[in-house]
This record gives sequence, C-alpha cells and structure tokens, in this order.
Amino acid sequence: MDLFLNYAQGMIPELILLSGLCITIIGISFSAKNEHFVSYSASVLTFLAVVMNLLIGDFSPNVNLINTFQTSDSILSVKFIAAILMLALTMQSRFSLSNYKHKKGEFYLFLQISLLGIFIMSSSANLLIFYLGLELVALSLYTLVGFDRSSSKAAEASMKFYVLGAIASGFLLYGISLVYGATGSIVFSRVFDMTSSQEISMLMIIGMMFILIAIIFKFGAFPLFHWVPDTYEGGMLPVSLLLASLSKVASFIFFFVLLHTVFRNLNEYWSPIMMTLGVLSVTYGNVVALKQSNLRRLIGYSTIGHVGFIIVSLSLASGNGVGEAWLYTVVYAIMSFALFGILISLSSHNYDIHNFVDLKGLYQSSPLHSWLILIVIFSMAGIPPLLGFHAKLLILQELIISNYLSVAIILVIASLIAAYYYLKVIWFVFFESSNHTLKIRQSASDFIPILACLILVLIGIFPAIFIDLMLQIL
Amino acid sequence: MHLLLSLIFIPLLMSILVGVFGDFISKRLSHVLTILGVLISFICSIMLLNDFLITQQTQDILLFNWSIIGEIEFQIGFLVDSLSLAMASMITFVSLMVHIYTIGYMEHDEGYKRFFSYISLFTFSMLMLIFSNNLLQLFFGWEAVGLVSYLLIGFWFKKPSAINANMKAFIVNRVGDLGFIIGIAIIVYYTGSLHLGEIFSQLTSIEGQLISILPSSSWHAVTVASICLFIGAMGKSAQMPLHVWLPDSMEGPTPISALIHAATMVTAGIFLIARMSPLIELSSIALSFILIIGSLTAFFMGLLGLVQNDIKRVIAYSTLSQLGYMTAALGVSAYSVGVYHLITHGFFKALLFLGAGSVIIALHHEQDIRQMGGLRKKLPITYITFLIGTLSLIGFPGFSGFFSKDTLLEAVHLSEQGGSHLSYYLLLMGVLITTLYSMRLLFLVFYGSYRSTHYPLAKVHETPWVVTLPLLLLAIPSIFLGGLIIDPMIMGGYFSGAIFVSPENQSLQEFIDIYHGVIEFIIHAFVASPAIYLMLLGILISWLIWYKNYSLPKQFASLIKMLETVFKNKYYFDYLYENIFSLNIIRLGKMLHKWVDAHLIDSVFVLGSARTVQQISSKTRQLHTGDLTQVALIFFVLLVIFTAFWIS
Repeated sequence: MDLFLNYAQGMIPELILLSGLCITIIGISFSAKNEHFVSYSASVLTFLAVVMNLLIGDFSPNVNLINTFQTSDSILSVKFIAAILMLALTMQSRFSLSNYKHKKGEFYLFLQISLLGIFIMSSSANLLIFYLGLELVALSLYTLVGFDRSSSKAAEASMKFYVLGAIASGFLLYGISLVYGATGSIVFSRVFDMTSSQEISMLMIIGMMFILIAIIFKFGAFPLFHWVPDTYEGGMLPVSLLLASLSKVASFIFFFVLLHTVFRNLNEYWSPIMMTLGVLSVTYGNVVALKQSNLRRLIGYSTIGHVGFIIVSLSLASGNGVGEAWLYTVVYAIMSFALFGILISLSSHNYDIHNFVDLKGLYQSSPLHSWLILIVIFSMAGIPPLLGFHAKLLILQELIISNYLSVAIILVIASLIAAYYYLKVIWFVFFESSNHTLKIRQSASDFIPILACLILVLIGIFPAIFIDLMLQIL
Repeated sequence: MHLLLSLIFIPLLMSILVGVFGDFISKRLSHVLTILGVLISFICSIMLLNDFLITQQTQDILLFNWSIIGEIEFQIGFLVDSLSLAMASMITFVSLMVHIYTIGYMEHDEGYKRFFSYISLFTFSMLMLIFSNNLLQLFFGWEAVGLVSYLLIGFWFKKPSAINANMKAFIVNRVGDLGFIIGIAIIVYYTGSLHLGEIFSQLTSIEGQLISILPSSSWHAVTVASICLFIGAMGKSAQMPLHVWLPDSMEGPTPISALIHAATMVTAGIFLIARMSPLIELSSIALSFILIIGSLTAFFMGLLGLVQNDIKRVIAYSTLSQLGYMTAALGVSAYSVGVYHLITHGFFKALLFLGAGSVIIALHHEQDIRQMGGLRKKLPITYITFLIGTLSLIGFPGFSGFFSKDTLLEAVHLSEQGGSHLSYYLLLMGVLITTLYSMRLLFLVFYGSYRSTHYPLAKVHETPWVVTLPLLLLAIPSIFLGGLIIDPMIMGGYFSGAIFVSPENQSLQEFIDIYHGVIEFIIHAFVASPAIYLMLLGILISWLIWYKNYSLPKQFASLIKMLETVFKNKYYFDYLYENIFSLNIIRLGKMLHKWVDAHLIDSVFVLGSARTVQQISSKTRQLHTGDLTQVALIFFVLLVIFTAFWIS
C-alpha cells in the first residue's frame, strides 16, 4: 500500500484532472440553464488546481510505475507549461463561446480531456500507454474541430481530419506492433536497450518508418498537412488556438519521446528524413501562404512553416536542437495566444475576420488591437528585438554550428518570403481604410492578448533568463 | 548606478507617458511631466559629475547582455567618464532650457504634446549615445537621434518644404551612416569586439594591418576605419560635402533648431571622433583629412552666412562654420579643445537660436531680416541676451567663446600636422567672417529703423517669461563658462582618462606650458594672435556697412555682386546633388526598374514563382475536393519513399 501511495504521488496532477473531469460532467448534466458557467468555472478551477499542484506540489522525481508511468523534472516542467497554456486557453475561449448559440458546456470538457492526454503522453513509459494519451488528444481535437454544428465547413473539416487521423493512428499502431515484433517489448527502456545492444533488424526500421509518418501527420508537416488549413478555416477560433498551441506541444512530445528517447540510437535513419521534410514544410508552407486571401487559411499555412522550423531543430541529433525546438514551440504558442486572442476579442465585438479585406480599417476601429497585431506579426516574421526573432535566431545558429549551412540559408530565404505576407497583414490593418465606423472599446477579452504581446516585447528585450530556463527544461 | 539609470531613462519614460497617453492628459500636465523628467536628468548629471570630480573614477557599467552571436557580445552598458559627463551636463541643461522655452514657443500649436514627447525622446537618445560603452549601442543612439531629428524637422508635416527638408536630412545622413557602419565592421573584424575598452586594448591587432580597397592599392586598416568613422561624423556634424541638410533643417520649429541642430545632435560627430581618439591617433592621414575638411567647412560655410536673409539660416551657417572649427581641432589631436569649444558653443548657440526664436514670435512668425530692424527698444531682454550670444560667438575677449576659440586657434597654430598651416589661415579668416555675419545680423535686426510693412511696430512687444527666462539662464554660461572651465578642462587634464593623444601629437602641451591663468590668457591673446584684431576689424567693417550704411566703392561692389551669386547658390552643392547625382541615380533607377525589376524579377521570379505557386495551389486544391483517398495515398507513398531512402 505504501508503495502504491508513493507511486500515486507522482500521478496527482492526472488524478486532479480526472476528478475535475468527472465533476464537470456531473455539473453539466445537472444544470441545463447555467451549463456554460458551471462548466467554465469547473474547468478553470481544475486547471488552476493542476497548475498549483505542479508549482508547489512535493514530487519525488524519477518515479517509474511498473513500466507504464514515469515522471521526472523535465516532464513535470513540460506539464506545467501545458497546464498554464490550457488555463489561458480556457479563459480566452469563454469570450468566443458566449456568442455561440448551441449547447456549449462540453467544450471545456474536451479541453480537459486533451490536457489529460498530453499529460499521459509525456509521462508514458511504454508505447501503448503513449498511444492512449495520443488518442485522447486526437479524439478531443476531432470533436472540437466540428464543435460548431451550425457550420458545414466545420463538419467537413472535422470529418476529414478524423478519417486521416484514423489512418495515421493505424500507421502508428502498425509501427508499434512491428517494433514489438522486432524487440519483444513495448517498454521504452527495453526497446532502447535493444537498439543499442544488438544488430538492428529491418523490422524495427520499418516499424519506425511507420511511426515517423504518424508524427509527420500529427505535426501537420509537409506532405501530410491537408487537414491544417481546413481545420483552421472551419473550426472556431479557440479550436484554432488549441491546434496552434497545445496540439503543437503534444506533437513536440510525440517527436521527442519516440525519436529522441526510444529511437535515439537510430538517429542516422530518421534524422535526414525529418530534416528534409522540415525544410520542405518551411518552404512549402510559406510559399503557398503567399497566395491566400483567407486570413485563417493563411495562418494555417504559416503554421506549417513554423512547424517546419521546430522539426528541423528537432532533427538535429547532436547539440542543443531539442531545447531550441522546445523554446520555439513555446514561443509559437505564445504568439498564437496573442494572435488568436486578438481575433477572439474582435469577434466577441462582432468584428469577425475571415479574409484580408476584413482587416481594412481596423486601425480606425481599434488602435489597440492594431498595435497588438503589429507586435505579433512582427514577432512571427522574426523581427528583432521581439521574442520570435530570438527563437528563430537560436535555431539558425544551432544549424550553422552543426554544419547545416545550406539548411540555414533555405530557412532564412523562406522566412523572407514569409515576411512578405506578414507585412501584407500589417498593410491591411494600418493603411487600408474602410467606410464602416465601428468603434471597439477595450474589454476583458483583451487581457490575454495584451499579456502575450507584453511577453513578446519584454522577453524579447531581456531574453537571457527566459531562454536559459526553456533550454534547461529538456 | 541608480543615478545613471534615472539620468538616462526618466526622459524616455516621460516621453512614452506623454506620447502614448497624450489624448488623456492636459497640455499643462504634458509639459510639467517632460520638464520634470529633464530636470531630474539634469540634477542627476550634475551629481554624477560632482562624484566624478571627487573620486576621479571612470566607471564602465554593464547593464545586461542583450545577445551573443558567435563570439561577439551585444551588450547594453554605460561608460561614465569625464567626456560623457561633460557632454551630459551640457545636453541636459540646454534640453531643460529648450523644454521651458517650448511652452511659450509652441503655445498655440496643435502638436504641442507630440512636440514635448519628441524632445524628451531626443534627450534620451542623445544620452544613450554619449553614455554608451560599445559601438552598437552608440550606433543605436546615433540612429535614434537621427530619427527624432527627422521627425522634428518634418514636425509641420503639412508644409511641403518641411517634408523635403526632413527627407534631405534623412538621406544625407544615410550616406554618413554607411561610412559609420563600415567603420564599425572593420573595427569588429580586426578586434573581435564592440566594447570600447576592449577595442582600445586590442588596437595592436589592427595596427599595421592592410586593406586593399582597389586591387592595386592597399591602405592601413586604421586609416580606413578612422576615415569611415569620420564619414559618419561628417554626416551627423554636417561637414562639407555632407552639410547640405543642416540649413534646410531650419524648416523645423526653432526650439529644436537650438537643441538638435546647434547644441547637441550635430556635435555627436565631434563626440564620436573624440571618443575614438585612441584609434584615430594611429593614423596621421586620417587626422590630416579631418583637419582639412574641418577648416574648409569653417571658412566656406561662414561666407555663406553673409548673404542669407533668413534669421535662422544665418545662425545655421554659423553653426556649420563652428562645427568646422571643432573638427579642425580634432584634426590636430586637440580633442579636449574640440570638446571644450563644443560645450561653450552649445550654450551660446542655443542662446542665439532661442533669441532668434523670440524675435520670430514677437514679429508673429516673420523670419526675414529685411523685414526687421530697430527692435532693440521693443525687445530689451532678447536684445541683451542676443548681444551676449553674439559677442561670445565672435570671440570678444572675456566671453565664453573667446577662450575656446583662441585655444583652438593656438592648438592649430602650434600643430605640425600635415595641412595645419593652411588650416590656420583659413580659420583666422574664419574669425573675420564670423564677426561680419554675426554683427550684420545684430545690426539688421536690432538697430536701424523698423522695415516691415505688414506687421506694425506698435504690436511688437517682449515675449513671455517662459521664453525670456531660458535666454537669461543661457546667457550666464555664455559669458562665464569658458573662463571658468578652461583651467581644469584644457590645462588640468580633466579629459586624461577619456581622451588619448599620442606623444608625437602633443601640440597643445606647448600652449599649456606658457599658460598662467585667465587674465594672462586674455593679455596674451592681444599680443600673440592676430585673431583678436581680425575680430575688431570685422566689427568695424560691419558697423560701417550695416549700421552707417556706408556704400562701397563701385568696382568693389561688382566683385561682391559676383561672389554673392556664388554664395546665394551655396557653391552649387545642391545643384550638383540634385541635377547631377540625383538625376542620374533616378535615371539609373528607372533603367534598373525597367530591365531588372520589371523584366527579370517581376516577370521571371515573382510572377514566375507566383505562377508556380498558383499551379501548386490548384494542384493542392484538387486534393480538397473531398477525395480523401488521394491524401490517404500520400501516407503510403511516403512509406515507400522512406524505405527507398533507407535502403539506398
């Protein structure tokens, strides 16, 4: 019993999340009138409890529960950041959902489930548990993309996402089974030992190739990116935000756990493949984004570009590529919070933005939002001294140190292309005027975007502490 | 440390407060805030200067490391030494005066708060520049003051001439900045550091290195770096031939002409060269170059002041000429004298500008001196202070400018630098010219009879106290400062920790050896130097011509007429730039646009890639028709490719 308690201690964040989940379900079913409020407050409290627990809880590091569940300092830090992001996401979602006509309590429920999935993914110690976590995230994402049931676009995007996701899951499971066939185990540490000790079997490599494809799909990298623009266009704004921030964290964990811990010794096989696909993602995403007239699709394509950066950096088997990829992921999440936060805040004032032309005259309507957009967009384009610049710079630096000069040059050129459409956004906001005279006042929904922009500016000017902190996590 | 940070950053804070929240605060609060900020800044700089005088300690403070690329650290840090503190005290004082003055000058202007925000921002940028301990931050300050200057020249942005003037200032300064950047790059390349202290300790690694600019000729890297830095200084300090922007900058409001285009920003070039003295000292070619450029500017720009009819432009040309004097001092390695003249000049030139501004408001924005005259009785305070400024400028014995100018002339006289003889005579003639245009201005504005037809003399009255108070406060240092600080600053080695002069260039030392106090200095000036007699001659001539209206002999007049056309056209510099450089560059640009841009880039690269993108997009769009099997196929294709990749 003592032993069990000792193990359970490591699982407290998950247990809190699970009980919060149950409470939320009960709350929703028993309060038809106030279900939005009940579900929202239950979720916020749950996430707060998780954050507090991770912040001040007493964890004995390096728990390993019969090869299924493990924790360590870096896993706890990743969970902590994921939980904070989820808390912020929940708080910002409320402003978007209050305009939504149908039943909306479940929205937060799925947010909790996906966070639970992320936690399980990051703490898993064998391939099947990992798969369970991944599916928890994926399933809640499918549902959330199609959450807006009045929109046929959302339904279509959700359906396609689901079907393709199912194929990807199939690939992953098949890969896992091949790896099991080759090694006789699904436990991470044992698979890792097998890759280092003996001759590597062909079965193992092919199994890993299957898993690679699933990773590419989850990231939405080239060439399996088709679901990205669709879901960004069809889904509600908070869902796009979820896809841009936490889903990327989940994909990062996927890549990191499988390729950097389990298949670390096989890096000569996966590293060149992933590097190539990463570079292709950056190029493709940014080039195609040039011709988009729909702002949300454009953000979708630009996400493919950003993901490419993360993948390139993760593909570096030596050096500190992983740390820099993690930094980029977090910075990208912060930028998404700012960008989508602004869009959510605007749409809560009935100022919906779908296409570029909708941005016209925003400066007259709301200077505050315009300046915030300027900061985010500059940061995404990588203009110093904003945080996005440092994230890009570190990756480029690492590439040059690791003798991937040509890759670095391609990334810089692609970033230049990206600067063109980013500046187009600024152009529409500041220099095009329209004849509508809507005036937008500041409201509570601006809090998170402003906070995110402040982080981008201030940490951009004083980057050292933040960067060191992020690089130390992994 | 705290003093220093508040010295530098409080003006920035106030600028942001007034700039961002301008809509929510009253006019009164906006000037109270910014004036308070600059006042605190001034007090802090005086306290720091006091500390420095007691402890004599140079402090090099690292605030934080901004970024590291390779082995080069980009730091934010401050160097608190004699040079930066002397500059800071002058800058904050003049800035404070200008802030107060602005209340009166800009009273009815729409952009009142914007103006205060800008000038506080300027003060911050200037302080960042002078306190910087590394070249990158110095460059930041350098560009920031340039930006604010651009904004302020075009402050009345609805006036086309103002917009032309600020474009001109911006573009000419880019030419200089290019030189500056190349200079920084050369220094970083050889010394591997941006930090001033490290650069100076690494100078042996740059000394003796050769750079070949053209394949056949090679230059010492030190010379190239110094000249590049000096080109930067030429842009900012408006030395020939990059001087053309400064007269046009008078399109801006008068307070900024005083603050930026006379007392502080334009002297940044002088400051830069003084700051980089250990480097510059290594190249006597660069020193000669600096000397020649400086003395040519001093002489030729002074002449132009004689034919201007706009009160502000006369003073602007005088600023150009005085900057030439300072540059010449740098050229003979008398950096301390250059900075000494910079500081005395800062006070009396700000005084002259603000005085001119006071006349302009009193006459309801009339700037043409042909429309003035006899204002002595109507504007007594302005007259007295303007007179003090003028006497200081022409170097009347006992006034502040006398000491600095005479020391400067002596330094050039005693120097053995190549070209110093020519320079000495140019600068001596410059003294005569300075006196002529200054006294001309004084006589035409304050003596004689009132000549304006459209603004009656009866309506002219003395300006409000916010305008006259700064005049009075600036008049005090314009009289006394030069005599007070000559002892410590020039003779006492105040700058010894900040400025380096190599042993073979110690021309000033001879002069210091024979110096025995202020009174003897004045007596010595009567005996040893023709400057004072040239000045008196100048007063006599201008009294005859512009006070007594004594007409000139005929032949002489026709010669003057001819010269006047040349002067009126400013030696055709603008003509040269506009009709030869710009026109051909525009022609080249059009050609490039047509062939490279339109044909090559647009139709091949941009449209070509756009077409490709379009094709890719339409291909991908096919995948979005709902046919998921195609996407599903990609999974399998990928698998095949991966495996093939692995097997190969």
